[in-house]
Amino acid sequence: MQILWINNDGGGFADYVEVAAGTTVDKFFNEQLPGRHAGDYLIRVNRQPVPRDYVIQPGDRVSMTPTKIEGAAAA
Amino acid sequence: MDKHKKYLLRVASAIQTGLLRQPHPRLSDAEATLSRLCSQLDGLKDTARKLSLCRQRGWNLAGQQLLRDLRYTVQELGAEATRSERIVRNPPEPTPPLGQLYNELIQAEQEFDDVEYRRGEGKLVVTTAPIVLEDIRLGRFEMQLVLDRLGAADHHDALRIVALEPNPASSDERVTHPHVSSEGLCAGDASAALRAAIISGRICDVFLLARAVLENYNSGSPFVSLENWDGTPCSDCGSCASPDDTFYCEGCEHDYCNDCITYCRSCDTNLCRECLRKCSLCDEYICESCLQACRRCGARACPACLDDNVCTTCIEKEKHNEQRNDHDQQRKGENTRCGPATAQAVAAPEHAATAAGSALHTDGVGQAGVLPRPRRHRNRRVRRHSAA
Repeated sequence: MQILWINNDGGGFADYVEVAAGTTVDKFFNEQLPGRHAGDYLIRVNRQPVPRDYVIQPGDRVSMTPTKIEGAAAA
Repeated sequence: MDKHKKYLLRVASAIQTGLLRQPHPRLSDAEATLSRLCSQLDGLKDTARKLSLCRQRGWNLAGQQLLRDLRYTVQELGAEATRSERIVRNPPEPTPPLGQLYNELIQAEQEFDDVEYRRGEGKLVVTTAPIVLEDIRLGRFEMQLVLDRLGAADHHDALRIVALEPNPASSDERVTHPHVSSEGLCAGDASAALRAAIISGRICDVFLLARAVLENYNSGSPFVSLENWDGTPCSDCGSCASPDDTFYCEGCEHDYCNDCITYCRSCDTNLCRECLRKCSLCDEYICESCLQACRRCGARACPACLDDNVCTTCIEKEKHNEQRNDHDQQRKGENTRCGPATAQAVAAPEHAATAAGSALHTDGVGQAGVLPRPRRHRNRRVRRHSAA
């Protein structure tokens, strides 16, 4: 199935990706951002907060936004 | 349709207009790369003309040099052509539909307590909770999205960060947050994501990303570090120092850090480098009031290099002259007693020294070189050498 994934980490992009049926948000996070801690991200499905065991549905809009970002003094 | 929904749709429409109004960054990217391509092609035309000239006139060496230079130009041309091709080929980012922007506003209202559209100013404003970083209260911030600047290439133009209860850095009032200066957010790691979110109309993500930057502190690259937030800026190097490490220059009456303050080597007064002078004799740093002029030569020197307002150089010179005068007096006296032969002996003292003990004949010119010299005279000569 296909979902819209918005990754606000790094370059920040939105794209449609293939996801296996029955994939939970937690699993999807670990697949897409391996080595990262889910607690450091604001994860929304269809703009709403969801539990980690939420099973992603076809056409869902999943966004992941880091909550710990290092700013700088010069761009 | 309820009133609030109408309001949100009106705001969504304003955002959409803002996104359409400015030239899309893709256009400016395309313009820049094509402009570079054109100038490279102009350069190639020029090189081709020169190469033709070299071939016609048999300037082989110059021709070879031109070919070497051309290698780099051709490489660059290839890279630029690839960039241009990529920009032209990629489909343009579609302007987000009104429905998406409406949903963005709904989400923003869920994520933030205070979302306000200021129609007169053309700004969508979201307020953060009070921000405290490393025990320093920075207060709440307004994240202002300037709608008619949404298409600007730089996110600084579109997003302004205004401190509501400003507690700026003591060294720079424009810095209201370690990563905010003059209301501009330096997003650091979030820069690319912010730009992408603005272009694609993901308004809520813009605010979430900006908030994430504001709620964190990167000690590696702040405008002013939190460590020095309340410190006093050094008037020389600009770094902030805590009150314990701040020193007052009694000359210019400014504050300096530990590295930039120094002191007068004579009176120990704390002074900055600008307020100190160098002793012209020993090169030590001395304050203006300790520096005195030598009454003989006028050289400005420290008290250690002056004796009764005469510098050590003048004292040395004086001694030297006295010794020379004594020597001259001695020579005159000897000339009067011994005649010309003795004078020659004095002129050649080494000869005289080797002949010490020989008899002196006032009228014997041939014996002049072996003239013995008085002990007193020889001793004085030795002393002068050791003094020199």
